[in-house]
Amino acid sequence: MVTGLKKISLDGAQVRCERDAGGARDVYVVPMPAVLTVLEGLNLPRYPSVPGRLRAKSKPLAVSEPVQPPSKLEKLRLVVPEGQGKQAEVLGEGPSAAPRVVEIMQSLGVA
Amino acid sequence: MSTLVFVEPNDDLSLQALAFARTLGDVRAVSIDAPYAPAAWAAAIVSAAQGAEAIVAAGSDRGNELLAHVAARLDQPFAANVTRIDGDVVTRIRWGGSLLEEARLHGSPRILTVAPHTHAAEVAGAPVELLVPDASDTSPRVLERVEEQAGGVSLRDAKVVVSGGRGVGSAEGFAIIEELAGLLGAAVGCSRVVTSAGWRPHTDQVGQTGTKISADLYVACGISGATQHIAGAKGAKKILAINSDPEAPIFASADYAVIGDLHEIVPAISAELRKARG
Repeated sequence: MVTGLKKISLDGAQVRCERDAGGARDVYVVPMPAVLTVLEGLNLPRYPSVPGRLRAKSKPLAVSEPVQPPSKLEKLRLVVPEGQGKQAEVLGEGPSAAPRVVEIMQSLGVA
Repeated sequence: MSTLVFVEPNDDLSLQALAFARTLGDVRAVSIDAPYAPAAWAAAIVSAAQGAEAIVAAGSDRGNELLAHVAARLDQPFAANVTRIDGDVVTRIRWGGSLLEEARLHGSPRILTVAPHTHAAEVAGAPVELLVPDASDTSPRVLERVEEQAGGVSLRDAKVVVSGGRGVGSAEGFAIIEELAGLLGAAVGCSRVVTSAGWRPHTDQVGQTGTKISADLYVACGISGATQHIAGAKGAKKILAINSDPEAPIFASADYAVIGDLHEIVPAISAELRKARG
């Protein structure tokens, strides 16, 4: 099993999998059959056609409801972290704000 | 009884995890020097962790992956990206930092990773014991590492990132974003809408499923500011948002705001930069 892949290519009975690893790509080559999970950006999705979707609608859907054991990581509460919803300083409206923007960039040492 | 800490060499996040683990009691630091193989490494950690009260690693991609494997092997719960622990109650970062969760960890050993940059790194470090994964383990392993060949400045490490969203309108619209980025020596980023529309490659995407930046300044042009986008942008020290909608959620995460049409404002900033440089 290899997870979080950004590129997959078949190589005979093996599959070459690439995964982002902080500025580089880790390459795994695994024999098939293999379980792979992929991430966004792997390819451009091909959306199903309308007739295809209509046909899919009439297909029987198997629904199973497995019994879930109680979670051993029990959520107690969710909190919004402090410091969120900060008030942005409005530098202006429209192109006339440009000089102020450049001043800010200079004060940050990036311009 | 002690805490087993998995550390990676020359990794600041591991030293942060080590400092966190000290608050739990005695620490035993372990590392592995072999090609990365998540399942095999986890097996080695599990056998080293016998009798440990807690197993801790950095909340990096690798730390989280390894301890997930460890938890599955031990059939114990795993709390990722923890910022605080008080007995068996942990506080951890969820949804890219938009919420904190308090949860009770019903398990032994306690298995957790430490959220990056929530604890100061330990300076001294600790003696590290090297574990050797089972050589006969044939689970997937990294065979090679390919460096990304990004043109220009890398998004992840750029000091400045200029990013465009839906408001840019088209692939051609990015010319003004690129111009400004060029003047600032910045990397060009974008939001998910943009990559979905095919205006920019996915490698330019800033966000939860794209690149998480750590720039000094992030300039978000025509980006509404979905939570998933902010998750990738919040590592920036300052955020400047340019948006025609004064109610855009991006302004709630921004330090500076300019309201108006980016197609007028961005070229005006470029012109002003040129003027300032004479």
